[in-house]
Amino acid sequence: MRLKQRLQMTNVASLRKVKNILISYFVLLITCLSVTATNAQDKQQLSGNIAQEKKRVKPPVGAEPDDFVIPKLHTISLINGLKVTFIPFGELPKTTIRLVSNTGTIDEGKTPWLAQLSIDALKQQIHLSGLASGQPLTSVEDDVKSYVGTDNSWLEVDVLEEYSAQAISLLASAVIKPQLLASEFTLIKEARQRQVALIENNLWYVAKQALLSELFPHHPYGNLNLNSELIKRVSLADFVEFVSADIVPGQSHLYIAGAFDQAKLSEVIHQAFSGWKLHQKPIREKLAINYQPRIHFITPESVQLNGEVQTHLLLAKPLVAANNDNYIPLLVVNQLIASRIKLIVEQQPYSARVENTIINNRAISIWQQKIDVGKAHTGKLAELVFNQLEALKTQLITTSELNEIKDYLAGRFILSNASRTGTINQLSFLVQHDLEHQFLEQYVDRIYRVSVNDIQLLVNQYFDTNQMVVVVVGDRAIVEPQLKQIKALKMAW
Amino acid sequence: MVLSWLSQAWRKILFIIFVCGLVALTGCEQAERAEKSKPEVITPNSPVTAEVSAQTFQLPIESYQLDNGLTVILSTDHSAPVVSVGVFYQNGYRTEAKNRTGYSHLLEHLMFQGTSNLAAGEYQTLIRQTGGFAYGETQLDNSQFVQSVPAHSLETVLWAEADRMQGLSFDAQSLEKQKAVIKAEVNHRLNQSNYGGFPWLTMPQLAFDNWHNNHDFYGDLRDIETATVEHVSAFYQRHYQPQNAILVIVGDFNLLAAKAMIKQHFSQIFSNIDEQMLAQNEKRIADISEPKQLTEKLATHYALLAPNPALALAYQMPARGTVGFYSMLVIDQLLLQGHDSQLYQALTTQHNYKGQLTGGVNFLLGNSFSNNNPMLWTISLTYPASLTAEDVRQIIEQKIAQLRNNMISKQQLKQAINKVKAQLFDLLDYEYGIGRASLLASLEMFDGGAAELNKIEGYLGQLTPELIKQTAEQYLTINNRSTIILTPGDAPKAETAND
Repeated sequence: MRLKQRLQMTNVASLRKVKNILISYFVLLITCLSVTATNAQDKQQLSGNIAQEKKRVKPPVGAEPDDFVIPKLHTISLINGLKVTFIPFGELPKTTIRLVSNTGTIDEGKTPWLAQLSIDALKQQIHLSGLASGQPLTSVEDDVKSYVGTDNSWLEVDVLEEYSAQAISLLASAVIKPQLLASEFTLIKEARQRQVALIENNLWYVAKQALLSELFPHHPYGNLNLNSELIKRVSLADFVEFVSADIVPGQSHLYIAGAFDQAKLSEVIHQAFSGWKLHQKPIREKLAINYQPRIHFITPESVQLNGEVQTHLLLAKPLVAANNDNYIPLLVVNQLIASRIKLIVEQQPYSARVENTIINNRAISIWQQKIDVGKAHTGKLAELVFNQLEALKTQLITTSELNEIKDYLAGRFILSNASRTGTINQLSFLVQHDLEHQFLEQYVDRIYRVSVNDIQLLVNQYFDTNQMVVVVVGDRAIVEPQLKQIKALKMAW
Repeated sequence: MVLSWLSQAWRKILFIIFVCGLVALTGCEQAERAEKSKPEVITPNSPVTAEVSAQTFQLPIESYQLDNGLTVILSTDHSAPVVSVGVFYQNGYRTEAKNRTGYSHLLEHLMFQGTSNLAAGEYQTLIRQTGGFAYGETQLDNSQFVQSVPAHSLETVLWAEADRMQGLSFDAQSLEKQKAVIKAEVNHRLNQSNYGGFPWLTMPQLAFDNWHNNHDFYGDLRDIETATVEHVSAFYQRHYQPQNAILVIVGDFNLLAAKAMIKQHFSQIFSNIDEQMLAQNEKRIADISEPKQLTEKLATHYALLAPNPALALAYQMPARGTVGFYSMLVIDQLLLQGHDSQLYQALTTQHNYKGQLTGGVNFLLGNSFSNNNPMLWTISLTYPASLTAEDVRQIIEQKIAQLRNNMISKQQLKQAINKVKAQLFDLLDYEYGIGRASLLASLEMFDGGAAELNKIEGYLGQLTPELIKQTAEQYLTINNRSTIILTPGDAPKAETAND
């Protein structure tokens, strides 16, 4: 018992010893650790802000976006049919004035370049009138901006608020009474000729022309008229006639965005545009989409001469008009395809450039995919692109991938409305495509309503690879055998 | 009696002396007061003062500093649900040390190559997914990282900017990759473009004497080639710190909420600068002061790819914050900007000119406000072979001489000021709020405060035709001019040998 007791006591003593040793050890360990930690901290300070290895922190997702609200607009109509929309925007005393007309290359008839040269000439007329008045409108060299499209065209000035009335009067005078010295008109034609001469042999433009000819045979949408010689044929009288017949109040919309005195400008607008006579414009025939899916090869001389190594590929497929219910969901599909193809390209050992677009003509929007790749890799990359489209028909994408696409599109929409010109762009898009304001108000909501099943249905409905037009600009002898290997393209040969 | 008479007489004399003294004293005081109230003579070198009545807008601007030294500038604009965020680090091309040239540019690239939380390229993806965009830009005196995003993504951006202010994560491999990217960029911009670095890179090299101002801003590529992870880390450690940075937010945000987010994400970043090391090595702020130019400078350059001959003239600018600086903005508009400018009109109407006439303050090196002193005002143009450089220089000099010798009309002054204002508003509008953020940061860095923005119109209102003439007389002189004549083709062999 004693022994046992002694043993027990010894054990207790030993245990105490062990305990003390352990305590000492832990104290030492903690001390060491704290010293090490202090050293580590010092080291971190010495080594600067270079991040230490640690668990990755995820970025905060941000707040919920607010509902999109169109700025408080005020629209008036003049007796001659001109519509005017006032858009209060921003805090600076600056005003953007844009006159949009429902005309463009579609109304050129047998005189290619007439729309472009007419807008160029009006632009110059406004610029010269501003100079002659002794009060040029703005500081920028190109003080009048312009655009000419297939279905609509515009002239725009961006001025200090105090010059807004003057700018409106100059715009009105030009469209009501188009006039320019013959010598000035010649200078305008020469300038445009120089610009066209620079691009008429550009292979991307050559490809684009081939694509449009395939999609819209015998229609103005189908012709880029990339021939600088055609410009010479347009006369000063043609310009005056085009402006009088096609830039008319009933087909035009004036936008005033920024800072302005609405009452004062309304009066100025009524006075300035009252002389613009009502002119009935013939109603255009509805465009019938009638194209043959096929592969169009172009082997430019440059390839034959100096062995051009790149291939330019254009894939295209008509979708729907912008006022179709599927238009916004198709924008989601387009973005998804763009993101998938970009990823494919990044994974390849060779370099390639890709870009996809939705071209919005009034009658129809077109999906277009551009691929720029070396001739040795053309077939492989095209096959990966077509396979991707096929995969989207059968495999559902993940919700998280879809949500990223939606967030991107919703965010981009917010930015595209966040400037004077951005707001005008959006509102004139509505007019061009017979859409109501609801289109903009519901845009974000409709983006977010697209489901993974919708994506699959839409890809099946609109992205039939056998219904595409494919334009290949490059070395046919090398590229054609490669493309013939692609199963998805067999129908098109 | 006699005594009392004397004392009476003395009393009168003393009284008269006292009154005279008083009158004299009052007269002196009045003269002194009159002297003081005489209007101070304003010259181009006087500090500018604001004419309040000329101000047509007041933008909300609030600035403060965190304990760690980070300067914060907030400017709300509720026009659209968008915010722009910029972080401006006060180091750029010309504040680098001699053996560290090109490092700011290198860091501009590395800031997108990852942190401990975001892998290489993820910063861009993060911003892009919001629907917004982001980019970095190295300037002469600062490196800026800017983005515009939908307003609801503000916190995501603040987190990401704080994350890369906290630390970067790059290794030798990613460093080498970015070196190659920079080399390709420099090669493309300098060797594959028609006019190379003319005149934006070449003119400061001719016009300035201080090495900081006149070295090749792209840097000595050998400095980049020999850069190690340690070198670049030390550079980052020294310059990419909260006390060397300005955070600007512009757009649609709630002030209180934004301040809370800033506190949450930035206040825990502590400076890791080793002050002792700094003191031993080099001064934190480079001395970029420039001696006054006393004689004209002239150089002839050659460019293999240039389709036409070209000429650039540059004048050293009056200092920021002076009457002369704002006068030069007006002169820039009068002489150079737009088709109504005197030089464009002279060249086109009298000489059937069809070349490209450009230039401005800090030409191709930011906007008129984005750099510290010293600055240049540059005229740059291409011209047809039918003219000589001397012909063109004469035409320009004639117009400038007119400005030195004659007073412009009040109407001309008003028109030019309107053009300056239009340009200022365009800058404020640039890329949603990025232009405004950049301008606020510049004013904070170089003019003593972001709130100066609300006085710029007032400063322009102080200008008179006399001051414009005086500025031209003082600064647009032959002795303050540097000229580069650019000739297409290869340099003649003899000159190549001399080089």
